[in-house]
Amino acid sequence: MSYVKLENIWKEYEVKGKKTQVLKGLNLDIEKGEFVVVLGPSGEGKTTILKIIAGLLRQDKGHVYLRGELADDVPPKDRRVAMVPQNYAIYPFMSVYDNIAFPLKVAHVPKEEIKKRVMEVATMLRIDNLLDRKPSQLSGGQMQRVAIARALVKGADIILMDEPLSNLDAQVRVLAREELKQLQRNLKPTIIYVTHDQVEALSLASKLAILHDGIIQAYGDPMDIYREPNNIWVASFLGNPPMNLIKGEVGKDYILLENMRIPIPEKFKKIISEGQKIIVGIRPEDLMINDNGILEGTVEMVEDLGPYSIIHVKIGQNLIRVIEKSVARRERGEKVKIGIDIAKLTLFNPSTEKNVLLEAVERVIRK
Amino acid sequence: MNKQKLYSFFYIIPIVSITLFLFIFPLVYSLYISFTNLSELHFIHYNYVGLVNYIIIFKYGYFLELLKNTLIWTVGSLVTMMSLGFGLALLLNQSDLKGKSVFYAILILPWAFPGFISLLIWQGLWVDPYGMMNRLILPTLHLPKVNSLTSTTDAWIELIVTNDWLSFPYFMTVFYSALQSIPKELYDIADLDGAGILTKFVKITLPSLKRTIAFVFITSFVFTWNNFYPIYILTGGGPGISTETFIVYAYQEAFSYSNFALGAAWSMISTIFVIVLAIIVIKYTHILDSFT
Amino acid sequence: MAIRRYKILKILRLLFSYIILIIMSFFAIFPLYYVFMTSFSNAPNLISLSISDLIPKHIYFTAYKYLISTNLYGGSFPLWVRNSLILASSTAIISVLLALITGYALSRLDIPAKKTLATFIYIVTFFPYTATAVPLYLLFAKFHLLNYIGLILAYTPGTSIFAAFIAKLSIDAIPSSYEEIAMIDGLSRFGAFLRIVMRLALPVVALTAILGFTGAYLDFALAYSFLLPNVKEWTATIGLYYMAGLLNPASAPQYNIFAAGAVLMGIPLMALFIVSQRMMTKAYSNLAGVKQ
Repeated sequence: MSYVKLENIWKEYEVKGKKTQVLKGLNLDIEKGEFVVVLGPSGEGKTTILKIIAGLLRQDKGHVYLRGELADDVPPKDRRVAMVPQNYAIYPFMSVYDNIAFPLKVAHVPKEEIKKRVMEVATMLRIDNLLDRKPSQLSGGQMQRVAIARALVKGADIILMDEPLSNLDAQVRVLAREELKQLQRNLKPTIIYVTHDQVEALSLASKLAILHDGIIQAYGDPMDIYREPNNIWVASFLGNPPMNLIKGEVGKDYILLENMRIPIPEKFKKIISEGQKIIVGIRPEDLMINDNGILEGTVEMVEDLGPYSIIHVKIGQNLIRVIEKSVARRERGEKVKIGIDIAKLTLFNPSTEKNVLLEAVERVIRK
Repeated sequence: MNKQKLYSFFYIIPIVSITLFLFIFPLVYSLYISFTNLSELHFIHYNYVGLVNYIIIFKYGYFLELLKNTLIWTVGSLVTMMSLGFGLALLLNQSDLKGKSVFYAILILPWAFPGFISLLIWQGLWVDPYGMMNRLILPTLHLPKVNSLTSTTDAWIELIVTNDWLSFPYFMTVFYSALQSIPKELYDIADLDGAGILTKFVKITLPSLKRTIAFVFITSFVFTWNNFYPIYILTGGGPGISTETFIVYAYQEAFSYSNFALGAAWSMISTIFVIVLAIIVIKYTHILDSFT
Repeated sequence: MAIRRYKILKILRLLFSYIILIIMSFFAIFPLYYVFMTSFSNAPNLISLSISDLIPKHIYFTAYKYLISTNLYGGSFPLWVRNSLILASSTAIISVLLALITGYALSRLDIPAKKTLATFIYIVTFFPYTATAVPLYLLFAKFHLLNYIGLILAYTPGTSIFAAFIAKLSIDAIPSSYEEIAMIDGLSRFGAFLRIVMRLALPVVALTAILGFTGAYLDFALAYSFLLPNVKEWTATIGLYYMAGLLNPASAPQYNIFAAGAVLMGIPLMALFIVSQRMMTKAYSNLAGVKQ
């Protein structure tokens, strides 16, 4: 059942006289119990989306539906959502206990009930020993847990999170990520989580939504999107180092890259035709340097990153990246051959920038 | 979306309405009154008399005289106060001076102590011949006595000295912090280039403080122009009207002589000057940029 | 020898500085010392004040005792102080609400014509109380507001406008997520403002309260014109004016009583003033330094 739905959302901002369209007809349909991560570059409207769902901002055009009902005119306090803001917003003048209890106090829940629920949530997040401390005495990780506790104590089934892990140290962040996943598995709220960190997104999400240019570019299973990105922007955004994109042309039963031929995978044969211009996408981890490789090139640069290395290879006019386990030490200027895992090839239409396969599927559906 | 703007509007209504009622409305009302003959005689039934009050002011009233006085008061006070404050700030700014905090704490007292009360105290000090100034202090310093009841010059001396006492700490503080914010390196480099004290002062200190001096001068000018209490309490405008400024005279016309209409007219004239000055300040110092 | 010359110049410079500073310190502290000593003397009037009173052999508390217990002119000092306290506290409370609401709106909400509003407010700060005293009196006379309520209404805009500006800057520095979270948790925007933002902006609240309090407490011009007829309603400033012998010289009390009143009123207000100055510099430096 559609639990949180954004329909054709438009939002404009005015900064010092200049108007910017942040959201341009955005659509997002989220099912109950999903852990949705909205991933996108900074400043492109992720926080705006959360605020619109919460009712703190009103969209210029379009509708918000919560739990199947229109929520446009419902004020924030009646939407029954909870939020964990980026800077946690723990009230410095209240103790930890009072902070967590705050939503319940506002709702006039009786004292004993408040105590019970606060203890429940605090124990779950392992902060029950901090309840009478003041926020100034807490570490970053502890504050983050207090913020989450406050969001959970209401029992709201929709939780909005605005980059809650970005203020934590790298090691704490990894631990926090695990705890979050565990929490969601146990309690099963619908979480809408916003971040610009890919690793976080891929690790946490049950569904991934990629935000760019005011709309959701892709929505679905994270690995599906990773393996079959629906357009060039998504392809190069997801993945570090990014996917290699090379211009090519379709030949009889091969694709011409520079002056090298690569065979066409079966699934494309019916879709592309000879003479068509094409953009080939292949991820660095799906390339290997071996002696039977189809592509030939020269090593330009080597980045040794510990467990693996990124090898930058010049092939004709193109510079591509290959990931290799740091066993062989490559040298600049070395001539290498590169093999391709053909099954992992992705093709894009240069004029629409869309994934050729998905375009074909669209055409079929429209018929 | 428009609903939001309406809602926000409610937050502003209190301050806007209060400003409207307590600043704009009285001024407008005052303007209206200045065209009537409202006074003790004509309190319940008063008539519209047009520009009569203004004519009285300019022809028979003491417009030029009061303008002169207001200028003497404002410029005289400002020049002395600022020089004192600036000089003290320079003295305190010397890095090898000891006991700075003690001096600063003592020197700031005149400003910290409530001005109104200080004025009442000073009034008792200057009264001739009972006051301490004429009985003890001035003779000790071999200075001539000051009698503000008979001599205009004496009256001005009394006023300006008292005003200096009240205000020099403010200027001292402002200039001191401005001086402190000039990077020491500028002076060090000048020393290396062989600059003398005077050169350093003229070429480094003054230009760095230009903005501060301008801002302080202009805002203090407006403040002193409208400063009612010192003159009202010390000389009451006397002897005669030789120390009356616009604001004191207007107040007295209204409350001592109950010539409300005339008092209103004088207030208007003084206010016009203030508005003009305000506009100059806005244009010259671009203060508004920090607001929005 | 160049070094010797340099040393001599340095000593001369420092000597000169110390002399000037000491002279100015005497100048600064003398009137306050004088009134302090007078309050502990038993001199009935200015004439009988002698030099020996300034370096007393005996300390008399009679002035203070008299001040606290006796009736003066139909009222009494404690009564007048109480009146002032009521007036000043009410002004403080209303000013806080007004200033904070406005500051919040200017900071967070999308208000139509924000810039013109700011300009307008800035210009208004150029009008001191005394410039609007005459028209305010006339206006309030018409509406039967020549009483405490009228005074409170008249005092609040002055503080509130300036305080609103500081409130806006301080609230700018508070991340909006605090009140947003409160709104999600069930408070209305106004509720969030009251319970959360005001707590977070406590320094500004305190500053506004102090400014409003001292501004109202120390006013004379308006209170004098409004309240003179009714002695029992006088404020402490009017009382002090009377005690200094300026209202009705014939029925003025002894001078040492005035001195005692001056001391009792002056010292706490001086302390409040210093506190408020510290808070203001802290507020300004916070804003200049850390931007969140």
